[in-house]
Amino acid sequence: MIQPSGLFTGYSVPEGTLDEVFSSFPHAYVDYPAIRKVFDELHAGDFQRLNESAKLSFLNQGITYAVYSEEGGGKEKIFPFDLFPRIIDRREWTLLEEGLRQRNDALNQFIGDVYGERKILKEGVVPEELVMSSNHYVPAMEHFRPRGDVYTHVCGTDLVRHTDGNFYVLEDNLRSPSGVSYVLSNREAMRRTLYSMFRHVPVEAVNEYPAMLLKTLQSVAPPREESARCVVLTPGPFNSAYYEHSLLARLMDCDLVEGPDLYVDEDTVWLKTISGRRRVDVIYRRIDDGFLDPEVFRPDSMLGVPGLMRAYAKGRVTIVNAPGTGIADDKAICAYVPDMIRFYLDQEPIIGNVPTYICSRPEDLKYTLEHLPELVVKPVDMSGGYGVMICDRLNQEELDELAEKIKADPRNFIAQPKIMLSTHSTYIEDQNRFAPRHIDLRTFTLIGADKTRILRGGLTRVALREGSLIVNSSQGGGSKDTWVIC
Amino acid sequence: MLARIASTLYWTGRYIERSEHLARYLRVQYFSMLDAPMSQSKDFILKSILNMYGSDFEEGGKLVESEVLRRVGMDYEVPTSIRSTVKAARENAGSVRHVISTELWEAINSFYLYSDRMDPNDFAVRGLYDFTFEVGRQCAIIRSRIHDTLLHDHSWVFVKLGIHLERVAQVIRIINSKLHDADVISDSGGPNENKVLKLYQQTVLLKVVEGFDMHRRAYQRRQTRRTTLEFLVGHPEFSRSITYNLERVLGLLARLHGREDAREPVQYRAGKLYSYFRYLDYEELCDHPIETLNAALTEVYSLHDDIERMYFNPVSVSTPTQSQSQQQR
Repeated sequence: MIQPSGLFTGYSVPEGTLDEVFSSFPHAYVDYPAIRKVFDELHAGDFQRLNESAKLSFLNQGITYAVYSEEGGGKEKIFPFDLFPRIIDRREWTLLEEGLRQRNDALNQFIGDVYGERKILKEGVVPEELVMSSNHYVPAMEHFRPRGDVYTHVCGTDLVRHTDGNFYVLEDNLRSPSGVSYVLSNREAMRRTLYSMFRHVPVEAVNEYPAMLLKTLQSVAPPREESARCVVLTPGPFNSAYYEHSLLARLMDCDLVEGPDLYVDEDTVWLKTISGRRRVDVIYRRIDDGFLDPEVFRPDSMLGVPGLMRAYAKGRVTIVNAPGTGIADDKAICAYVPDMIRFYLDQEPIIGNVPTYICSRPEDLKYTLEHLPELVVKPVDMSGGYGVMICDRLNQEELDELAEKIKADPRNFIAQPKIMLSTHSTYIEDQNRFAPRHIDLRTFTLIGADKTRILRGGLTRVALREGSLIVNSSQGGGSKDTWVIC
Repeated sequence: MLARIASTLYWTGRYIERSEHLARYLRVQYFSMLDAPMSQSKDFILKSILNMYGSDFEEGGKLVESEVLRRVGMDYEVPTSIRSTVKAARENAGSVRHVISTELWEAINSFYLYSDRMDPNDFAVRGLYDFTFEVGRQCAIIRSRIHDTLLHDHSWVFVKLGIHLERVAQVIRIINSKLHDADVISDSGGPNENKVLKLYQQTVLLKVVEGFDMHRRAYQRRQTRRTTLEFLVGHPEFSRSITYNLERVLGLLARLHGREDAREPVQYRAGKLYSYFRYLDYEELCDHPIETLNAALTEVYSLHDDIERMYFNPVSVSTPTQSQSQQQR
């Protein structure tokens, strides 16, 4: 192992942790030393300057989130971005791609099956009760078949690398996964600041994502003589992912619309333009099911379009992702995905699951309660890292309290063994040096009526607090550019 | 183009333009206090500033300078403060981020970041000149980005429409505000003192719209109340005159409609307003300038309402409206 120097002074990988830059494991990327050398050749002051200039690039582009301030000006912060790229070897990626294709195909079939014949439930592979009790089940979708039988056009699969060196699926995001704008802007920031690094390694481009998404949307448009009009539906500028909505609309050259820009007449969705109405064919919606159509879901929704579900049911418009896909990204359902893969595809899963104990199963509940201090407990339908309990950090009183909560509502909880997420060299500003921090990987799979497309790269999220395993941006996470070697 | 987008582009233009006029008015008025020929009372200037910003004050009350400056410049709670206006411009631009150029967005975003970083206490004590000057500079950069980095298509037309219409409204308000100041002066002090002070108000007025030098060129150094009004209202080649901007508004509306058409309701109103100023009787204007200009301002606001009806609410479901004007006494 090469001795680290300069910015890597004092870098030490905690015992029992796999560090993707410094540890050796089967799929380790072999050229990390060359990348490290680029950093090592920099004077510490130079690196600080580069880091500041990357930050400024985000600030000027307006890639920020608002933090509440009493003055009313609204302080804006950038999501921390780390300049050391995370690199994935080509052979490993090819395998991951196959695994993602397989997993998301099975999940898509599962949703169609649940809203259709329910074979998998009838055969008892997935417990009916578990699916039917989901808050995300949408009765309006029963016996409806969306164009091309595609429900989950955009899938965000979160992967983590365990100490054995293999990737495992942590969770599936099948409603409207976000984060792809960071993939694009991180790459842009890297190109602006450390362009010389790209000379060392051939990296797969990520800037084709908007074109891939547009092709996916067009592939599910209702047939019509004119070319399909696709729009991006956003809750508006105050939504935390608004930058992403706006970026994707701009790069796909689609209209970015809010609910009141659309209306339904004769079961057709229309866009209000300065010269009258225009028909809409595909809505890439970035609002939750509950807000889509006040006639069917929440009657108080101001974000949606009254009558939208009627137009959808008549096949006059396609909603992407389909309503009701949340039944399959429930954390309890996640545990059954390997069984779904066997059931629908007759294949063995290529990417494993993090073992999951579903508290609504009596034997799993028993195991969870007996082994609580070693486990991580998560509520099944929360996202953003909220409500996650890492039990070895709780005292006895807190453990007892959690056990009571689980016993009171077992359907609402799952437990997983504490997976040691791998670490990666991350620049720590206040120490002006690199240190290992835990990371995960969000991947993006697009399912169209014509084919499945997978973004070669993804969003590597970093838990910036030392020892923390929670990578979500709302909980103090940052991100890295992710390179897939071509 | 989406009706909401058109409206947002238009408002981006209006707020950018408004912020510049507000900042310039504040700077010129405030510093005119320092080099006035005779002691103009500080209260008088502060009241004039508050009046222009449409901010309430008690007629007999004592005004604290630093508070007034903070209120009109920095206070986010006051919707007509310079900072609130810049923020509104940026919020509008942010929601049309996907239709404007990166260069224009980054210019508007930097403008906001600059204004947001300004320390309000520093502003009231020593930062007023630098800040208001920088606002003008940032607006100039933004205007050049609008001109040079956007396609001159309908998006551009809506931004420009907002700019020119807002300029007409602001110039009318500035003239009225200064005429009002001159009236107040004539009610106090001796006749000689008044004459000098009134002339000085006209100089300040020309400086507020950055027209002092060009007025001198246009009228060979002769300056009267009549030449000042003629220049600001009707000079066909001065880009901040009312007539000049109404002519642009008319042209932009014809582009939106596809051709000139006097029977089309929005163009009809704009054309009438333009003709009114083009063939204005200046004798009459000089007799009752404030009333005449106030009536014209009401017409400008009605023109805005017509544009809104025609382009921003074409399918009869209303979109939220933004504040067209500051209140003025």
